[in-house]
Amino acid sequence: MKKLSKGNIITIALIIAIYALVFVLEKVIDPNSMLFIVLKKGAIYALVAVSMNLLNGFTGLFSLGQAGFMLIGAYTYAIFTIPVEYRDAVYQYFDGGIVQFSIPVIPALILAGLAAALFAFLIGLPVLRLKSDYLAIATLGFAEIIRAFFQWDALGPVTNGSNLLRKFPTFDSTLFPFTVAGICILLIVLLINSSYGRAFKAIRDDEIAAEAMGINLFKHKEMSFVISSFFAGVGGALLAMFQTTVQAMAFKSAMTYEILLIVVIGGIGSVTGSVLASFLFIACSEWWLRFLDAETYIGSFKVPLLRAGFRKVIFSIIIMAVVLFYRQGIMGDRELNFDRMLKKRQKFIEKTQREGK
Amino acid sequence: MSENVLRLDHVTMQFGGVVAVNDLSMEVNDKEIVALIGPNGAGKTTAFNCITGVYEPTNGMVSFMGKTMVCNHPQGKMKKLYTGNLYPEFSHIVSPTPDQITRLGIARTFQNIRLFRSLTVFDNVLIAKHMRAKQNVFTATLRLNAKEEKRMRDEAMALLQEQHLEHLKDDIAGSLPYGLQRRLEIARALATDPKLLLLDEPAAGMNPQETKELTDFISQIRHEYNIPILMIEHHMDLVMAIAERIYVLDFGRLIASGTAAEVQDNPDVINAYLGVDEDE
Repeated sequence: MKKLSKGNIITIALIIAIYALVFVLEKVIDPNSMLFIVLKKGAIYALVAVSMNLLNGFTGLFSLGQAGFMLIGAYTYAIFTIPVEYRDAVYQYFDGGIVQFSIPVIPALILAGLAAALFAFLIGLPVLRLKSDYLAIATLGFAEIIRAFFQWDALGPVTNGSNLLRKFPTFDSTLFPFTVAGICILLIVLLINSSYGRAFKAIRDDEIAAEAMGINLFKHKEMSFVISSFFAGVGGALLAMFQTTVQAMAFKSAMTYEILLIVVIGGIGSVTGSVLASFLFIACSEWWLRFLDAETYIGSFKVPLLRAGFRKVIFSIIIMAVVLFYRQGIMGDRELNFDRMLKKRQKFIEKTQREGK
Repeated sequence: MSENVLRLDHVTMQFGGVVAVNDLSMEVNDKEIVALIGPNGAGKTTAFNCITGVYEPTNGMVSFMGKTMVCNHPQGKMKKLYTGNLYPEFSHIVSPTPDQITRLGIARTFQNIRLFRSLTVFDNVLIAKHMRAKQNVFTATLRLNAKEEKRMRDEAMALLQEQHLEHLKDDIAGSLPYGLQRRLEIARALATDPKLLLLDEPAAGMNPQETKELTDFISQIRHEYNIPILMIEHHMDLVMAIAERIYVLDFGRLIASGTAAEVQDNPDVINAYLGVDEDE
C-alpha cells in the first residue's frame, strides 16, 4: 500500500471534519432551517454535477441529457419503493398499478442507477458517433422525449401517467444524501485517477492520437456515458427523496442547464470545483438571493426593482460576469491539493527568509 | 515473403474522382529503415493513413507480419468511379480501426504533433500502456489492479529514462519546446511495444542542428529496439543518412525505389522534384 502524502491526509481530515460538522449542526440547529435544505439539495446537485463533469470535463463529450437520466433514476426509485399498502391511493386512476411489491431503499438507489445506465447504453450506441454540438442536440432531444414518454397515459399502470408519485420512503437526516453522494463522488474520483480515467482524458485532449495509442474510442466513450448516467440516475433518485414527490414535468431541460452552469462555474474538469459550485449555486438560488424576490419597504420607501423574479435577473448577471471575466470557473481544471499548497508555502517561507537576510 | 514485416499490394486510395494513392506496392523488411519521399501532395500521408486504418483503401491489401491486415475492393458508389485496375484476390474485406492496428503492433507519430497537451509527460507515455493492461473498469476503479498499475508505471518510467526525458516527467506536455515534443511523441509511440514504427515527417519544422540530433536518435532507436522504421520525410540529409531503401511517390504513383544512391540519380525523381524543362 502506498503511503499517503501529507496533503492527502489533510484532505481526508477535512472531509471527515465536514461530515462531523453536519452531524453536530443537525443536533444544534432547528432541522427545518434553510441551511439543511441547502445542504441536502447541494449534496444531490454536487453528485449530478460531478457525474456530468466526468462526461463533459474529463471525456470531452458535450452531453445535455442529464435531466433525462435523473428522471429515469427518480421514477425507478419511486416505482419500486412505494409501500404496497399505499399503492391503491397513489395509483388511484390505474387500479393500484401493476407493480405490487416494494424493495428497500439502498437496492432501489442502485437499481435507479442501473436503469439510467441501461438507457444510456442503448442511446449511446447511435448517439456517441456524433461529435460536439450534434451530440449535445441529440442528448437534449432524448431527455425531452423521455420526459414526454413517462407522462404517456398508456404507461400509467407503471409511471402513473402525468400524476404525482408519492408516499415512497424519504430521508430526514442531511447525512443521508451526504453519505450517498460522498460515496458516489469518491468512486468517480477513483475512476478518474485510474487507467481508464487517463484514457478518458486522452480522448478529451486528442481523439486521433488516443486512437493511435490503441484506445478503442467508442468503447471508452460508451463507458464514460454509461457510468456518468448511472450516477445521474442515483442523483435523480436522491432528488426524488428530497422532494418527496416525483413528476416528470419537473425534469425540464432547465434542470440540465442548471447543472451545466454548476459545472462551468466550478471549472470544467475539476471535481472539487463542481462540488463547491453546486453548494454555492443552491445556496444563492434557494436562500441568499431570495430577498430579491420579496417587495421590501425601508420605512415608507419601497426599494425599487425588488419583486418576484428579480432574483433570476441578478443571477443571470452573475453568470455573465463569470463567463466573461472568470472563464476558467472557480477551480479551472485543478483540484483541491494540499500537497501543492504545502509546497507553495514552503517556497514562500524560503523566499521570505532569503529576503530577510 | 516471411521476412516482410509490412507489405502493401496494389493499394489505391481514391476520394471521389481524385486518386490520392495509385496502385502502390511496397514492403518493409525486418530491422530496416525505409523512407517514403515525394513532393507535396504526392500521397505520402494518405499511404500512411491507409496502413494505420485512418482511411480504408479503395482497393488493395496491406499485410503485416505475413497476415492480411487490411483488404478492400471498390464497393457501392466507388464501383462506378473507380479508375484503377481490379484484382480478383482482394474480394474479401478486412477493415480494422486504428486502435486495432496499434494493438497488432504498428505505432505511429503525426505530421503535426498530436500529444495529449494538458497531461503530463509521464501520463502521455503511461496512456500507451492502457491497451495491453489486464484490467477492467471495476478492478481499475477499486484499485484491485495494483500490480498491473505498478507494472504500467514502471515500464513507462523505464522508457522515459531510456529516452532521457525522466527529468521532465511532471511537466505539461503542451508546454515543452518543439523538439522535445517530437521526441516525446516518438517515445509515446514506442511505449505501445510496436513491431513497426511509422514516423510522419519527424524532422518537420526542425533546424539543421535539431535534424542531425534526430537522425542519431532514429538510428539509435532502431538499434535499441530492433524494429523496422518506415518514415515520410522531406529533409534529404536525414533520408540519405539513415534510410536503407527509399520509395519515391509522385501524384500518387510510385516512380522509383532503391537505395539512396540509386534514387538520387533516377531521372524521374529529378523531374518530379525539379520539374521538366518544356523545351527539351
